[in-house]
Amino acid sequence: MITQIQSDKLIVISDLHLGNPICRTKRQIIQFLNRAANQGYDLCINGDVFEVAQVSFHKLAKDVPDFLHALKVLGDKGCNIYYVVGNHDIILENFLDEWGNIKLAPFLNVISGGQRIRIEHGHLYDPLFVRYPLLYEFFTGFLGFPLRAFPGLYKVWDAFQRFSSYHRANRDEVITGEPPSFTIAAHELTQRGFDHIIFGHTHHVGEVDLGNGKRYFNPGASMFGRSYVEVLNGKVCLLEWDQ
Amino acid sequence: MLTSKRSGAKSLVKNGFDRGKSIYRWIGNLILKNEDNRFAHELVLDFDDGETIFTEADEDREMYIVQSGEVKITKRFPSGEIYIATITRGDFVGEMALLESLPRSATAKAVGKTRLVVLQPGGLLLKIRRDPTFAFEMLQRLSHRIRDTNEQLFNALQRGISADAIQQIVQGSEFTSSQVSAPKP
Repeated sequence: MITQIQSDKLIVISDLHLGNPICRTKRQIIQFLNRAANQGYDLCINGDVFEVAQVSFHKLAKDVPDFLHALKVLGDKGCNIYYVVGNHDIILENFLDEWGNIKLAPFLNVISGGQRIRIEHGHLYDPLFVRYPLLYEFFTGFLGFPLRAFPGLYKVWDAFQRFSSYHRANRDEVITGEPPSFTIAAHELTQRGFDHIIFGHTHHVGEVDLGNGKRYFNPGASMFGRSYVEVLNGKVCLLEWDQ
Repeated sequence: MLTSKRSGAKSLVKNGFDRGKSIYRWIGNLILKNEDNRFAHELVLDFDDGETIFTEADEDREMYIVQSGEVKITKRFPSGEIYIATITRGDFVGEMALLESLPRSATAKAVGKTRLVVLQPGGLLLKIRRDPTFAFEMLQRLSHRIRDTNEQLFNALQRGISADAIQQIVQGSEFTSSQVSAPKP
């Protein structure tokens, strides 16, 4: 199983949720991946790209082929593709291995330009997922039904998370909308000699300075945002792709 | 009159809201303060080049994660000191003493300026709970080390060391571990 890789040119995207009715950027992300392929970037898909938890297989099968074709183009151009498993596609943990161009991993430790970077989906640091895994799984599946009928409901949840985080005492030290447990986990990982941490899962974009030049990044959800993380010879940046 | 009443009610609501907000923040601070204590960072130690971290047969039980720098592992033999491995950033050292409660089996020295995170026996499970992938990585690395050791044994076999001698080494290590794990009188 691959968990250690070396890459000087890597892009990280997260939470595309293909198959989910709230995913609106499939076409743009495919264009973005084609551009990345032309520029020779390796790709890390940081979990929750295939929405297995909330939709039917038919819906998923309709959305996925174009994306898989874009991955094939990347692979054909010699770019490495890494897939870090998330909680919405946790079933893929049964396939942690190399599958042709795509390498499935539970997390990735990337060496780039002498820097150590940890890429992980981050659901293991979600207090709800950790404390009530069965309840979390049930609600994730159950909420798929109202979301199919009213995709706008997600905005309510997003606003609630942002509101809660606004009233937290240490709101300057965490990404808006996230519980503090993600920043704490990022701190914990830097103690183990990582220079930068990249999580996904929360769908909230941002970066946090962890001190001593170490940073925590979250590219948010590619299903409605344009953010991604670029790793270029050890330099890590949160960027947005062009429309 | 009506206006002043309204503004009075308004300011009352505003004061109440501000007070509620500050109480909310105070509780948040309190929880986070406790959380910070609960998630207190491990002890960090700095070593200069060549400084000894632990010596073979030492009785201490700490395990170390290399945050920066490198650690050289050597072992004493009748013929002299033999180099075993170099542990780099992100890897760990001293886990055998922590996991098996046995004296150190080798000596560890810092190479260059080295910073280590100290994990004590009482903190390992807490560490795994806070950082679950640490357990995964630890198992993965231990598995690599066993594979490397096996390869070295087979290489030794190919270089002419007899199968009997290797069998004796393997049996010897099994005998030692079962002997040590028996309860002491």
